Amino acid sequence: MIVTDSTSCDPALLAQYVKTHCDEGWRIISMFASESSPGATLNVLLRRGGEIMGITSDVIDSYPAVTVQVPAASVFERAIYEMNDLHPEGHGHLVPAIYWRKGDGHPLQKEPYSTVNEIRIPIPSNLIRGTGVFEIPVGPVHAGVIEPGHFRFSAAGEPILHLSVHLGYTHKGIEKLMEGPVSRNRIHLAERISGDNAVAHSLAYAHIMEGNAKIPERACRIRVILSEMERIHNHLDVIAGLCTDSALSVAASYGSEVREEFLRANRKIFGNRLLMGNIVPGGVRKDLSGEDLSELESAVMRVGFGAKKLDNYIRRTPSEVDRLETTGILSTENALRYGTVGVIARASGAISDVRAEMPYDAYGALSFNLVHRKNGDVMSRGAVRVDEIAESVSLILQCISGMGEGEIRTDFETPDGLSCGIVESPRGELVHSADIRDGEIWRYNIRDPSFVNWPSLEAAVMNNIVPDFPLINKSFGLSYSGNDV
Amino acid sequence: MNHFEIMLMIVQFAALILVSPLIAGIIGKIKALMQHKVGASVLQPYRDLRKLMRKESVVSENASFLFRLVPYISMTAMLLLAAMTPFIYTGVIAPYADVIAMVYIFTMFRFAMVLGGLEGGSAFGGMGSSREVMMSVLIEPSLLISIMTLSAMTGVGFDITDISHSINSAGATAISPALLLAGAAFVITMVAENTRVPFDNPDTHLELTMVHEGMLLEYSGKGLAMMEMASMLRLTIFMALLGTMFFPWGTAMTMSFTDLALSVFVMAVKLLVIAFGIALLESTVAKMRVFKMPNMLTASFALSLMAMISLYVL
Repeated sequence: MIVTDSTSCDPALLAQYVKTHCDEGWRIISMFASESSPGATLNVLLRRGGEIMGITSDVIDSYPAVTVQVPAASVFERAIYEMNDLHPEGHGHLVPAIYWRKGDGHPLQKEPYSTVNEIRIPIPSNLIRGTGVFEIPVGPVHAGVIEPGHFRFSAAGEPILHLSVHLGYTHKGIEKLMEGPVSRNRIHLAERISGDNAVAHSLAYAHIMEGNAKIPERACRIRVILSEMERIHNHLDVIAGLCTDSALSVAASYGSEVREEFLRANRKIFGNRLLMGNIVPGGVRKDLSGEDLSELESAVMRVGFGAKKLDNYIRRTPSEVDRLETTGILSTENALRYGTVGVIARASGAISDVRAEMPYDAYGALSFNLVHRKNGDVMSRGAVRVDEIAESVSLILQCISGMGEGEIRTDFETPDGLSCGIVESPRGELVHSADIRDGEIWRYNIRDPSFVNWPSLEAAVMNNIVPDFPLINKSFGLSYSGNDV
Repeated sequence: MNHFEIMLMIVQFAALILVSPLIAGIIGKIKALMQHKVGASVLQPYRDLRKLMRKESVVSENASFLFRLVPYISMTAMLLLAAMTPFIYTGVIAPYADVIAMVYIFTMFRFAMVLGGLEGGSAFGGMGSSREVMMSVLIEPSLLISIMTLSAMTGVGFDITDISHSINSAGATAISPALLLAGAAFVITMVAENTRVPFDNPDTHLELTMVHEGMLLEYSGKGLAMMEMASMLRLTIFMALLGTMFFPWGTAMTMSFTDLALSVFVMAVKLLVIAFGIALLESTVAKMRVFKMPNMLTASFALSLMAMISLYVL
């Protein structure tokens, strides 16, 4: 969609201006700089329910940090500082995302990026000192098959005093690769930002490309089916992972079995296990035949029953419930302060869901419950996921039963200006935004839900013990690749 | 002791060592079947050991000679214990087969492992070692008292074979609250000492939750093979002790062929039952929180204490 409500303000007043809006119930959903001469334009995107608003400010070199007034801006300003060389004065925590890289320039600047020099910043060690306090470095290479991330725990015995998460190992420069003349083919790139959320990312990209074009009803319904199928397999992965991490092996392999069966159905119906290649700007690639629909229905029913059974198994195992409850509590205040989104926020009582607040595609015509919990522990996050699988099953069945005949693709023109695509990915609110100038993507910004959720992980592990960290991390289910783009 | 008896004891010692990887393989297989998986062959642990023995050992630059020494100490400790464990015959080759010696050879093994964990210089080894010591402090009294109960009950002193022989010959009359309580305490210590679920997950390589695996993390090649072998042997020794000291019926007391044949069969059944029990426990129970381990181990200690008290009260 195109951001129509946009105001411009002086950089000196930006922080105060954003703060005033946040007090009125607006929330920062994305923040990025697009270079102009001289300096750069700082774009702050705010959302309140179904309203989107942009605040722009022309900045040269430095500006007073928004973080001082609105802590949720911290991660964005850090990225802008590193990538666009705009200094947020008074930020206080400008640690780089990437500690070791080729080239000492600022990758998102328009000037050619030179890789002659090399930046190597040592990761600060022993941040917390004291008797009996020691630091545990973990990663970036882990024992399991997971993405790279470096964790530094400061622990006194087993209790965690502080955790700092260092990511950036999978930086791919996708934001830069997205720049150039408007083209529909970059959807393949968008799908690979975070492979398990391929549908959500490609959908957000498609929304930007389509502007305000009308997408045929049938395509909208297939898009909803795809999004919800992706949600199911992501949630199942996390639930099975929770069982693996707490050594509940039978439940874990049952969960993986249900997920695997579902992925095979994905492949059979949509041609790809992770549903890649199905969303195209203007609609969807593949129409579903009657046979596909009935197969889809049975696959979805089976996965629904499987998830229910897995949930029962977990709830009937007291030792598992004991591990999950009261572990890794993220309070509602912290969830709101860090700007947490998605499942994690909903499990902590900070209820927000793009599908309900600003329905896109066919969501407006469908009914579903907004699942939420208030405890914010690992169990709540698991429970939200289990219930969301049931809601997704219901949504898919609604789509199938109400599927009308019609086109699955339409033609469209990509409009100039600032536009954004906001979708509810399995991890939460996903925002793509683009500054399109004269038919050219001048600056493309990707804000994966993981990007804003990682800092809340640091808050949630406080006062927990080191051996519970894998469970907490798994219950957050964040993407490393999506964070690093 | 005649030559034949000595031969028998040596065979029993060798059998205990040879069968231990098989037990680990069987537990793994049962667990896999419970998870709807095909699972590796029960012979897989033998293949793993052979593979590891052929590989070169990588040693951390920070490690001292102790690091290389630890696998040998561990292996020696377990061989000593294997020599004093009745397996199919209530007589052992070791002249020092004493319950107190047994408990402290187990402790020696653990101490060596803890040192090995610290020597590697990695954070995970240290964490594993500190957790192991926490558990060890609680396992030791419970193990000691549960075994001492048997000694007090039979009144034959501290010799393992005497205890085994005495309970065995008493037949069903030996079944008493003291024996059952001590047996229950011993089972809990067996699970804890062998770092199985719910105390630790032997399959995991999740860095932050490891106890036993954490200490082994820096070992490779021959050193790892010896440490793994020692761990498997430890489990089998515990199982054999449960089957020959707490519930010794069926174990041969004479050297007649029929007794020995029956004993081999009974021991195989006992081992399979215990292996199945462990696999069942590991499949149905989640690993407990680290800070709940002391509660469970205290329960084990309370059981063993009750066993001891019941001897004098009942």
